[in-house]
Amino acid sequence: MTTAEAAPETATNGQRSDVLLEVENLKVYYDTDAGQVKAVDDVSFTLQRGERMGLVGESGSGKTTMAMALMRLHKPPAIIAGGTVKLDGVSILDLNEEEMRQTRLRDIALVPQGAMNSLNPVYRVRDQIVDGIKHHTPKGEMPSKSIVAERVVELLNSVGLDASVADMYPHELSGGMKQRVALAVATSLRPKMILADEPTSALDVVVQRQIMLTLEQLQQEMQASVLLVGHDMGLMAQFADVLGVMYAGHLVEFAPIDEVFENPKHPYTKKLISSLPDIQVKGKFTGIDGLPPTLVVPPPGCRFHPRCPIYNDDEDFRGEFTDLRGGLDTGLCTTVDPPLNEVEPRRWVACHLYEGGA
Amino acid sequence: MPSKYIVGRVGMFFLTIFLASTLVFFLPRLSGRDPFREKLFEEAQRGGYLEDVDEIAAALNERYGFDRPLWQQYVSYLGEIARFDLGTSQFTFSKSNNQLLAETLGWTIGLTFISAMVAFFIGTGMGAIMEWRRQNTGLLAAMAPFLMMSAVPYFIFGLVLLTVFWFSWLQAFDWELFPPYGAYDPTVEEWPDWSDFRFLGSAVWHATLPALSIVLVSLGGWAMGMRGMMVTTKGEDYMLQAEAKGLPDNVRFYRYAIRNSLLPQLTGLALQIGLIVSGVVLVEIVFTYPGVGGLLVQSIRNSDYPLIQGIVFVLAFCTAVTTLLLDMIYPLIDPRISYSGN
Ligand SMILES: Nc1ncnc2c1ncn2[C@@H]1O[C@H](COP(=O)(O)OP(=O)(O)OP(=O)(O)O)[C@@H](O)[C@H]1O
Ligand code: SF4
Ligand SMILES: [Mg+2]
Repeated sequence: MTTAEAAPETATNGQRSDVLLEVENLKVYYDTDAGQVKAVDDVSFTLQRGERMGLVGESGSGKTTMAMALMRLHKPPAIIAGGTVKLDGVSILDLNEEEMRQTRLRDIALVPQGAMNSLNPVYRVRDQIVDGIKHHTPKGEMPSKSIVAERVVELLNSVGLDASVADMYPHELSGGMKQRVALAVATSLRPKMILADEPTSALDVVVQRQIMLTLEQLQQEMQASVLLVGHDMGLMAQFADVLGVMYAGHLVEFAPIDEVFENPKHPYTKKLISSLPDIQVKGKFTGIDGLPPTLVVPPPGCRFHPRCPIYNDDEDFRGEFTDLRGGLDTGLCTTVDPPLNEVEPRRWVACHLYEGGA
Repeated sequence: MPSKYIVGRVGMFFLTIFLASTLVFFLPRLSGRDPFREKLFEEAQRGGYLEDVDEIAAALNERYGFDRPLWQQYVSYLGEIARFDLGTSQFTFSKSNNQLLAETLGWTIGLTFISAMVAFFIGTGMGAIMEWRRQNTGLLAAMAPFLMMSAVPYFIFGLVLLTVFWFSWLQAFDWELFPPYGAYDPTVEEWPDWSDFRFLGSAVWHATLPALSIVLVSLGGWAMGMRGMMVTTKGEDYMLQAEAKGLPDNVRFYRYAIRNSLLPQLTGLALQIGLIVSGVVLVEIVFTYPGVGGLLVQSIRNSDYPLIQGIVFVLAFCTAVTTLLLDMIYPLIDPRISYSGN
C-alpha cells in the first residue's frame, strides 16, 4: 500500500515525459454466449500531457468500452484480452486492486454522462466530494474539518457553483448543477487525466456549452489530459486538440483535429466529415449509410470494406480518391486487416490506401 | 404550521384505525348468531334443564346492549373505543377486556418485535452479502433451505420445530433442549418478575422455539427482497461513479449499495407488519404461548363479540402505530422524502 502511494510521487518528481497516456494493442472483448464481441480490438495511441483528445465513432464502435477499460472499470462479461495501458509510466493493467483504487480519482478521474444519476441520492453534495478525498488520504493525515470545508467551497466555486450547494442533496439540483458537482468531484484531487464519456449528452445546448467551458478551464488550470467521448463533431472541433475515430472496435484514424477536418484520410472519416452540415455551427454526428458490422465475426480484411466508398467505387467519392485508388490493391481490403500506421507525422490511419506511400 | 407529510401520515393512521374498528364491529355480527343463547343452551343441555333460557338470554343481551339497533351499538362502541375502553367479555366476567389484554399483549408484542427484527436484519444482511459477493456461490447454496422454509406458514413450521425438538429422538436422550409451551417456568411462584435475571433467562429460553419458527420462515423472504434491491442498486450510475471515485469496497457496500437498498426494504417491513402479527398469533397457539393468540381463539370459539373486537382492535392499533413510526422515520433516512413535502 505504501509503495503504491509513493510510486506516483517519484514518477512526477522524476523526469517528466511529455507522454501521459500510452495505449498499446489494447483488446477488450465481451465473452458472450454468442461468441466474443471484440468491442476494442488492437487499439494503440498516445496522448500528451495536457492534451485534449476527442473520440468519435458510431454507436457500438467501442468508445465506452475502451474508456472504461482505461480505468479498469469494465464489468463482466468484458475482459481485457491483451495490450498495455500506461498512465504516466505506470502500467495500469498490472496494478493490484488497492493500487488501482488509489489511482482512480487521484490520477485518472471519470466525468459521468450528463444528467445521469451519478450522485448517491442519500448524501449531501459535501459528503460526496469529501468521501473521494478522504479515501485517498492516508489515515491520520486528513486535514481538519474547516480546511476540508474550505476545499469543498473552493472546488464548488471552481465549477461555477455557489458554496451553499454543498449542503444540498442531489434531488435538489438541476441536471447542469449535478454535472458541475461531478466535475468538482472529478477534479478534487487534481488528476493527471480526465475521462469524460458524453458528459453533456441529455443536457440542453446552453448548459452543454457552459459545462464544456468549465471543463476546459479546469483542464487548463490543472494541465490535465482529457479524453472526451462524444457524438457532437461541433463540440469536438471546439474542444479537442487531437481526434480519434473508432470503427467497429478499431481506431481507424488519429490525428490533430484541424488536420482531420481539413483533410480526413480514412474513407470512413471522409464520409463522416462530408456528412456534416457545418462544423463550426454545430455538427451533430449523423453517421453514414449502412449498418455497423457485428463485432463477433467482423468482416474479413478491413472491417469497413462493406461500406467503404473506395472499395465499392462509390461515384460520389471517385474524384477525390481516384489517384489513391489507382495504387490500391482492393484484394487486400477483403483479406488483410489494415494496421494503424503513421502515414504522415502525427497522422495515423488504418487503411490500405496509404500503405504504398508510407 | 404542522408539515403536510406528518398531517398526511397521522390522518392515514386514524383512518386505518377507524376502518379497522368498524370492520371488527360488523364482521362478527354478520354471522347473526346469539352467543348468549347458544351458550345457555349448551349449559342447559349439559345440566338437563331447559327453562328460562330465552328470558335469561334476553336479559343478558339487554345488559350488553345487544338488543339495541345496530347503529346505536356501533355509535356507543366507537365512543368506548375512543376512550380505549374495550368493554367486557361476554363470558370472562372476572376481568375487563382491558385487563385481559394487558396480561397477554406484552408477550405478543415482545415475541413479534424481537423475532421480526432478528429476521429482518439477518435476512437483509444475508441478501445484501449474497449479491455483493456474487462470486461466492456457497452463500446462495446456504440460502436454499431458508427459501424453501419461507413457503411454509409460521405455525406449520412451529409444529415442525416442536416435532424436531420435543417429541422426537431427543426424548430418547432425555434432553429438554427447548420447552414446548409457556412463556416461563411456571413452577417458580414469584414469577413473572422482570427484575430477576433468571426469569429473563427462562423467558428467552421459552420464547426460542416460537421465535425461531417466525425467524426461520421469514428470513428467506427478506434475503430475497434485499438481494433484488441490491441488484437494482448495483446497476445505478452512482455505483459506477463510486468505483470511479476510488472508494474502497466496504464504503461502496455500506454507504452506497446497502444504504440505498434499505429504503425499499423498510417499506416492505412496514407493509408486512400486519401479516407478521397475524402469523405470530397462530404461532402462539401452537406453543401455548400466553399472548393474545390463545385469547383470540377462545373468543372466536365463543363468538365473544366484545373480546374479539378488543383483541383485533388492539392488534390493528399496534400495527398502525408501527407503520406510523416507520413513516416518521422514513424522511430521516431518505432525503428525497421530506416532512414538508407530501
Ligand atoms: N455487456 C455487454 N455484453 C456484450 N456486448 C456488449 C456489452 N456492452 C457492450 N457490448 C458491445 O460492445 C460494443 C461496443 O459498445 P460500447 O458501449 O463501447 O460502444 P460505444 O462506442 O460507447 O457506443 P455509444 O456511442 O452508443 O455509447 C457494442 O457492439 C456492444 O454491442
Ligand atoms: S482498407 Fe480498403 S476497405 Fe478499408 S477503408 Fe481503406 S480502402 Fe476502404
Ligand atoms: Mg458509449
